[in-house]
Amino acid sequence: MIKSGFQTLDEIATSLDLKIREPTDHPLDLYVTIPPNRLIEVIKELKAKYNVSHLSTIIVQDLQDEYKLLYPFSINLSGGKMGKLIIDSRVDANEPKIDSIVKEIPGAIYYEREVYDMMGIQFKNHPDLKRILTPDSLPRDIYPLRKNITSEEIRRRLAESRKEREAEEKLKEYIRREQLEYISEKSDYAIAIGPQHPSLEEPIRFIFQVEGETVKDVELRLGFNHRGLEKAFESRTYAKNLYLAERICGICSDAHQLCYVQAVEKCAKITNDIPERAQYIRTILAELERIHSHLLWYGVLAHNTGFDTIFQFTWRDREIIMDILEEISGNRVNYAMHAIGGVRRDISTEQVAKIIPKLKKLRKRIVEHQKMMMKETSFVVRQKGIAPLTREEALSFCAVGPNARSCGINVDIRRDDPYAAYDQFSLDVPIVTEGDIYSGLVIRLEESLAALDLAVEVLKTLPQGELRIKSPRRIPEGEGISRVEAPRGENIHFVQSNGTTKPERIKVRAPTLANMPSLKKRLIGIQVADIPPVVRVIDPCIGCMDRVTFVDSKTGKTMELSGEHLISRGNRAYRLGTRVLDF
Amino acid sequence: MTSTNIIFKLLSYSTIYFLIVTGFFIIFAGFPQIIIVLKYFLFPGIIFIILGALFYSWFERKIYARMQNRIGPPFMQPIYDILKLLVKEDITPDGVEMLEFNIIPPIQLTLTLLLAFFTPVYMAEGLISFEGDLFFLLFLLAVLAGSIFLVGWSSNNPYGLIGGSRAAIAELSLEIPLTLAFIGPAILAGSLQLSNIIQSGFNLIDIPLNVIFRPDAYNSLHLLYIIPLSIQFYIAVLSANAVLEKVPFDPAHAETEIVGGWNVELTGKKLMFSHLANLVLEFALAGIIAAIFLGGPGFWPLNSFTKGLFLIGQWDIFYYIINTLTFLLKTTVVIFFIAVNRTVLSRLRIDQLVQYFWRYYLPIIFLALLMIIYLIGVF
Repeated sequence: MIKSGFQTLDEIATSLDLKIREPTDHPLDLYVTIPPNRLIEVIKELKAKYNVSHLSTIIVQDLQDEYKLLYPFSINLSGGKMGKLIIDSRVDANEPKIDSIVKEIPGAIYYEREVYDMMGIQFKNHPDLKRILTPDSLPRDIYPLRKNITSEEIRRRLAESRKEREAEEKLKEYIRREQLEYISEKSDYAIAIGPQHPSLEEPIRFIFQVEGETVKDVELRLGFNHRGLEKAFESRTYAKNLYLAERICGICSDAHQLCYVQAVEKCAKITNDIPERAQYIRTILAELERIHSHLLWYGVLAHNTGFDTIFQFTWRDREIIMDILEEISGNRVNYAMHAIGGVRRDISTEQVAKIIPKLKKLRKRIVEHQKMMMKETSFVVRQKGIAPLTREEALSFCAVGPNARSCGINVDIRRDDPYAAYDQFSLDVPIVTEGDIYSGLVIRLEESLAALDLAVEVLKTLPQGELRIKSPRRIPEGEGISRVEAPRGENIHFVQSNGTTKPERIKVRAPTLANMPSLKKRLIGIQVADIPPVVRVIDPCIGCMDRVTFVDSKTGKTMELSGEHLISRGNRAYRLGTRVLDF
Repeated sequence: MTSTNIIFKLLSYSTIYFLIVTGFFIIFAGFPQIIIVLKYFLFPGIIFIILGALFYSWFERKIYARMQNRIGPPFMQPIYDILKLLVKEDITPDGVEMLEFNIIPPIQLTLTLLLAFFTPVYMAEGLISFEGDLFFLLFLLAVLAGSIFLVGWSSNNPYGLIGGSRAAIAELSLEIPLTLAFIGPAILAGSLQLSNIIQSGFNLIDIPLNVIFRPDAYNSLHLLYIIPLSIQFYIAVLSANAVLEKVPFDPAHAETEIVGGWNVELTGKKLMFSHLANLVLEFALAGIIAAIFLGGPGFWPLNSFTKGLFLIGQWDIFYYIINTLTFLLKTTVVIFFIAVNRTVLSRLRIDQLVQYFWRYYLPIIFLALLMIIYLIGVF
């Protein structure tokens, strides 16, 4: 990275002649306004002058007569920090069109498709502007996140379109066409992996064009888990959304809740008032979650390459960390620890005394796993040199998290854009430059050890004090954008508040979507046998990406279901086939 | 239909069938022919082989589980698996090659049972034994690999196609190392017949015993044979892992990549036949490797003593029991090694499998063979 002489985002903005929208309290956030026709030009300048290549997401908000598009770019500032330069560009609602930035930022390809799918904004010169998350049976004129359509109406139209005979025939025709693609002229044959496949824990679909054993091309299909969570956020209060946010994902539920809470705190302008003890407890939770996620990851990687012994061992030892999390929060997943203005539960001294020996025991086990995996040649030959991604490619595809760090990109949100109590501790960020599967494994192993040490350190230095401050029920009008380093990488939430108890717009971008373009690049040219480990290397969390929720789509309420009830529901779904989906 | 019901039905049907066949033989062929019927049907024939296969499949899964810190399956689990597959719906999907797809799974079971008939269980000769049967065994293995490829091809599924072609490639790679591994003991015995190899006493257990108990015929230098023989034994075990499609050499099966490979479209009875064929093959292959490298039934120098001790007429019951038990014990050892390989190693890609067999195992086994030839020259 070029160490520029510029100290702050304001200086960068003025040097590029950008109009600062309004000053913020946060030195690492800056909103600038530019007209849509200047967008490409500004991005080119940013790339040339400040080496900017990372676009976190594209946020769109429906303002009735116009659409507000926010492009949060990451800029490396002097002093090792990473600022967010958020470009605010507005397009007219009658003619929602804007230039595509895929040529400048190749990693934006799925973000733009998502925006098109959800808001119906046309991107000029986009290479492949199709819908990405919504089902095929959704009528073409519905753009779900627009304010002029309610979720009831979307559900009704979706159910109607499914009942239509014509649509059904169309769908069948579509499936038939897809089947025929298996014997295409592009390659010898095509293999479909997903939506249901033993190596995928969650539904996603890849269609691989294969010659012999080599993958020539790959098509992705997302959205099997899409339940319209961003729409659901808008109809609930901030307090209820806490629990919705952590149900975005089962593995990184804490990261999502923390990110949401921080974004809301930025809206309410109480970020600097959060008690220190709460900040420390947030850090502990985030680190514990990172450990259990990484343990899960390399266990499943071993399973994907047929090394079931490691899989069993890691999942056995993962129970230690799950017990600790249960001890702290009362739950194995969905910890519900965070609240707007602090945390909900305390960690007592007795608990600390219980947890630290357990963590030390786990550390020994992880070192053991490390030895077992690094020394087993038959395991290592499956990883080394497979599907390498160069640093330049990773930068251009906006890779995040361990996926980026395994390619030599020195980025960690905990250190570069500190949140919770991370600025009080020195962080050990492992970097590997090879970019293959093996370096991903090395990164995760070292990161889980570093996270363990950090968790112990934070537990030992836990300060006394308040747990939370009182937060207003009505969040004043404002916008907050927050990033956390989830186990899979940068996780970003955007909250627009409007002075009521309910948010105007919440945008979630989980790390998996950011890693998808680089995954596609990795997959081309590999062997069929390497598909599961290569897909695994970005740690795909499809639930996150598609934003699933367990809200009942009929009543719109979350329900408590007993085990028997769930079984009977499952049996009913099995008997009735797809009909149960329509309710 | 509960599982006990099915067991009852199966037992009653098989008993009736068995009574009819034996009755037929008693009436039309006379008493001595019944012995042959019993041999082929009961012990050490089909029933014994299938029960043994089920037992060893349980044993292997149990060891595999215990080494992974799991509890593992209950004793009856392999039988329940078979029964479950029997009651499952038997689907022949559209677009498959009807004839091959339906006929090959039973043929696989027949072939593996034929292979198992060569296994010496209670005496040096198996049910079938002739000069050159070692090569016939290898031929049967090649036919089995061909049948696997045909199933994969006929299932008209990309996964099946990949699995089938990988199985064929694996067979091409492992055939020569496996053959050369069997050749070593055959050179020492001077015969290509399984029973002669067993009776020669040149194996990993009998060489030390012979050196102790027959110092007149053998000297301590004979212990040097253990080095090349153990190399060949281990490569034979690794080849068995590849034949049985077990980790590390299971790219043809690879359930996390190609969802079971060639048998992805098999269901119900067809899958049961294919599954049972695999179990029988495991038993037969482990038995044959145990026979060639560990001496098969009995410890030969000790065997001759026990033969004198327990001689009871023509039938010699205790002698046969000891032989059977030692055979089962030695098979257990081979199965144990297969399970250990499966536990401590990770799955290789198909190109890595080919590389391992052609680039590493083949030269190693050649060196072992040369060492055996050299040692023969010395003594």
